Amino acid sequence: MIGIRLKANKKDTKYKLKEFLNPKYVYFKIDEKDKLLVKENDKVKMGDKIIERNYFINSSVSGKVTKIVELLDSKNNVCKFLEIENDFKENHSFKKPIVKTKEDFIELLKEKGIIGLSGNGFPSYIKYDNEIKTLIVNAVECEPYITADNVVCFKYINKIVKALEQIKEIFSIEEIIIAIKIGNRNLLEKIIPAINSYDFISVVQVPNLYPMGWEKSLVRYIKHTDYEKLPTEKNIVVSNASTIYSISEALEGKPLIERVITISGESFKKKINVKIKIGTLFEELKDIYKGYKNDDVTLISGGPMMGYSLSKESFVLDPSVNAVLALKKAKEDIATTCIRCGKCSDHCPAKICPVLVKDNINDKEELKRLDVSRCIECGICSFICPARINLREYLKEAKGKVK
Amino acid sequence: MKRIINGIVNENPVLVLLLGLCSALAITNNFENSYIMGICVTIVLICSNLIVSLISKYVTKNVEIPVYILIISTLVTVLEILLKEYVNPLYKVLGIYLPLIVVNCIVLGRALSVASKENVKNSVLDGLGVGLGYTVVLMVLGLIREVLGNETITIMKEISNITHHEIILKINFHSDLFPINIFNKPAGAFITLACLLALFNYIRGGNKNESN
Amino acid sequence: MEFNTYKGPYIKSPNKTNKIMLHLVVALLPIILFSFYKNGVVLYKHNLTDTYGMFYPLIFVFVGTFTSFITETIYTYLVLKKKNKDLINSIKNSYSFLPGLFVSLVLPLNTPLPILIIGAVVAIIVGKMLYGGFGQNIFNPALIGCLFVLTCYGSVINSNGGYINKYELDTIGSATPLTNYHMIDGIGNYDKVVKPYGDLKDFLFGMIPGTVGETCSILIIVAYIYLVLKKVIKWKIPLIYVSTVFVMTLIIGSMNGEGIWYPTFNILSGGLLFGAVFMATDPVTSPTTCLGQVIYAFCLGILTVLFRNYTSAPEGVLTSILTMNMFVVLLDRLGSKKKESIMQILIPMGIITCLLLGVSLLVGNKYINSDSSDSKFKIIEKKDNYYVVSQVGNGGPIKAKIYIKDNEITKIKIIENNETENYYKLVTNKNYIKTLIDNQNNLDKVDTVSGATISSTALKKMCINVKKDMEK
Repeated sequence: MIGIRLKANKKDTKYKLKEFLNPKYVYFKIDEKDKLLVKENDKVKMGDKIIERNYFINSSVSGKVTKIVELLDSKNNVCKFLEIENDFKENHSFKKPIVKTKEDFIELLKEKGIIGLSGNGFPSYIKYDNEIKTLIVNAVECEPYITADNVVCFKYINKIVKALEQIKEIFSIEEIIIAIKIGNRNLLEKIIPAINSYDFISVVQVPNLYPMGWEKSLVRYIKHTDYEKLPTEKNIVVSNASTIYSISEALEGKPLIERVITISGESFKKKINVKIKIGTLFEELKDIYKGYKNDDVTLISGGPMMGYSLSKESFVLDPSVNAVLALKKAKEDIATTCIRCGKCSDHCPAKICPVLVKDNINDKEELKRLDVSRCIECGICSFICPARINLREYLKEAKGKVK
Repeated sequence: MKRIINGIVNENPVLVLLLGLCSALAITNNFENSYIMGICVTIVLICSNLIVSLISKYVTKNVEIPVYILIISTLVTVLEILLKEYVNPLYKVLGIYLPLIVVNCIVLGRALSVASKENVKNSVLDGLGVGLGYTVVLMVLGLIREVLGNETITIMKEISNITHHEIILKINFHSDLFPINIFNKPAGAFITLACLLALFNYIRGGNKNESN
Repeated sequence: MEFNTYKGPYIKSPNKTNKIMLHLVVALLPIILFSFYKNGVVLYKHNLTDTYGMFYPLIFVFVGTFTSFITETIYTYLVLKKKNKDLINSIKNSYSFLPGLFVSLVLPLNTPLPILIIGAVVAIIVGKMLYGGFGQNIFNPALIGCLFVLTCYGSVINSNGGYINKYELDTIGSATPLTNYHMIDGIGNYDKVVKPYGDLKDFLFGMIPGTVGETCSILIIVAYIYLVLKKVIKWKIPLIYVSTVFVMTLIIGSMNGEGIWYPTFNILSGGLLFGAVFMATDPVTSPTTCLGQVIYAFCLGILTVLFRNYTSAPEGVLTSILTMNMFVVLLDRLGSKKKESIMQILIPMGIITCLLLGVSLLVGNKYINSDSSDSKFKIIEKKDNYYVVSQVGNGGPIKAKIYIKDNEITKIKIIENNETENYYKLVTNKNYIKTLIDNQNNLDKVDTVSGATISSTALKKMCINVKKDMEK
């Protein structure tokens, strides 16, 4: 297995969950090609469709549409957001749908706006639009500090298993595997009784390496096969545990309107997992994390390896954010000369040689030959480089050049 | 006069145009061989430039290379015969590098680029200048290599048959560090030539906009 | 509240470049201290030298290290024109003491200090700075310096004592184990090759003649294990290199009926272990990809065995590492290709295996067929009262006219020799020829002249071969 061991730092938040389901305002990002389904001063109910892309985005609160504002998104870019003011009445018109065939299921995913909640925001209706023989539920969470998927599995395993049963009927799946990291004994003790009566669901413990939660690593370890671009080539689908939980809510009629995030890190005064409404401004959670312990803080959305650092607290938590961390600002490391130690090539899970990409950054032919499009931007090369060269930036630049 | 200086400094065949390097590296084992070789090449250059500039009007473009090579090889053969007859030891020392003057890029290069385009006086002066430049560089190389590698300077040894004098100067450095054996071998020739090239171009200023 | 933003992973691993270099120096310290003991303290205890001579190994290492550090500083200041803060930054990040340290560990201990300084200067300027500084060089800078010194001043070093200190001169003999092995005809046996220096245990613990770094094999193995545990070394290269040499010499030895002592001797003698652990794994000049490192190490092993048995130099490690340094870019290209099928790994490995077996069989054959006669000896003219013979010496054949009378050698006149002046002077100064004639009936027991081993051995062998021919 290729990977590195990272210090987990998960003790502070493991299996603890709070709720914060009454933000004053919620915000929804408007992309260029989006079609707005509401106008200013419209009244909306919780779960109403407000934006149409290839799938629908639903309002997470009931209230009034106020205006379009510019705010920071979770990648520290300024974007346009649609603001909805909460009236705290939680009016909704959820109706349990009838889902019998695959087409019904795909339609359901589109209507309820289900996207991958592991951090990349990939629309799930594309993923499930295939023949599935094996479904892997990814509850590994290999990045340090993050415990959101674990706590969702811990608390809602019964709902998840019921949804899995229904999915199995729709797709005639042969086996379902729940993947968790080795050493989570409490979680294992909760899962095993829940899946006892189902013979097609099993639990597999994967080693404690980063990036074990990557699709390719899981498929290689569990199914002992490999694929080129997508796991659907081998009729395998890897889905995040929180996504499956939101699918289970969708099968009851509730769209994607809330999710669990982890608030952790040395510099937050209180660390906890918290269930929030999609579109909450992070500032509003101040009562949850109660402020910062020191002045020199790096605020990160996502995990410490693949996340983005933010310049202000007032940024919008869209569904792709699975954690907000506050780490003590590390001493600025200046990049020195590459000593060609080869550690980046040894540890790359996608089997690229970052040192050769860095040397040939201006040579397009060579970059094509080095096949840089395999890079998943996991950050191991920048992490492990003794000369502190930020190799991931070189790879991002190379990927842009080759496209 | 300017042409001659041009041949030594600005268009020095070995250090600027980088032509004729193989003979420059191989023959500079000692001082005497190098200046003899330089003189031979100068003679061939002057004569070939003279002849080529005289007949260049009558030679069409597509046969000029074989014609010039024919001229040069005739001259070199004549030189070879003269040397073999009168200075046999020297002929033996120069060995294969005497016939190689035929394909020495300096001679053919100057014939094509200068002698076929200029008048007789300019061509001869150019030949003299380039030949002198080549000789000077070879002499410096040979001097450095022999002094550092053998602690001697051979001024007249092989040609002592005609001059009836043998002059070999000995320099004693009184140190364990000399002689440095590597300068007797081909590796030392490369090192010396490289250092000389770098130094010469540094002194000239290494002007990047200068056209060749 | 405003926060600073910056890119990239927000946690970093604890290893940095300066820690890697620190581990390297820590691994080298026991080896330097052992050499201080063997070449300094032991001599002092036997009253063969004074206090300066006792500390001489440490002074030697210090001079080499310090010279390279000063040279790089002066070069950066004068040629690259960096001042003040820039200069300090450059020096901190460039680890200029390392090439000088390795030069002093690879050169023989009796190298005069001015020559060591020249070696360190050449190593830094030609081997490192001219290529662009730290991280840009193609060849191992320490080996470039050593090659320059050994080519230019080999005879000067040898006449100063070469690899041998005064204590070893008294007890052991006059050549390093590998030089001695090189002069034996055929493959030799345990008594001729290993016994003069003790037994194989002495080779392991390092009480044999050699350079400062290479003798104590066990300390080098301990250093290797330490560096692997700290994860600062390309561990595949020394392992595969040494195993390849072991396997190849095992094949060669067993083709000639020699036991397991032969491959063990080949590994423990010479600079093989030191070169494999410290020089071949120099991070800048070795491949970065996995397949590249494996092929690099295999080719190093094949080249070392080839150079040791087919060229006139007894040591093969230095030149084989420099040769393979040229191919590192190619090997990296091979290793970075996406492995689409298993054939992409099998084909290079198959070629390497064939080369390995081929070279071992070739060398083994050479020894089988050269048992009886000495290929370096030739009879040019044979008359009733004299022989004109030639024997290959250090710089080429030595031609001599040997007068005989009543099956005894009476006079030896050297007609032509290509030996280096300094070597040959030692032979003629000590009246070696007279010694040979006087002891012509037990020529095997005659010692060679220390400092001119190869030339004097050639003369000795010439007499032995003439005597053999006379007996026929």
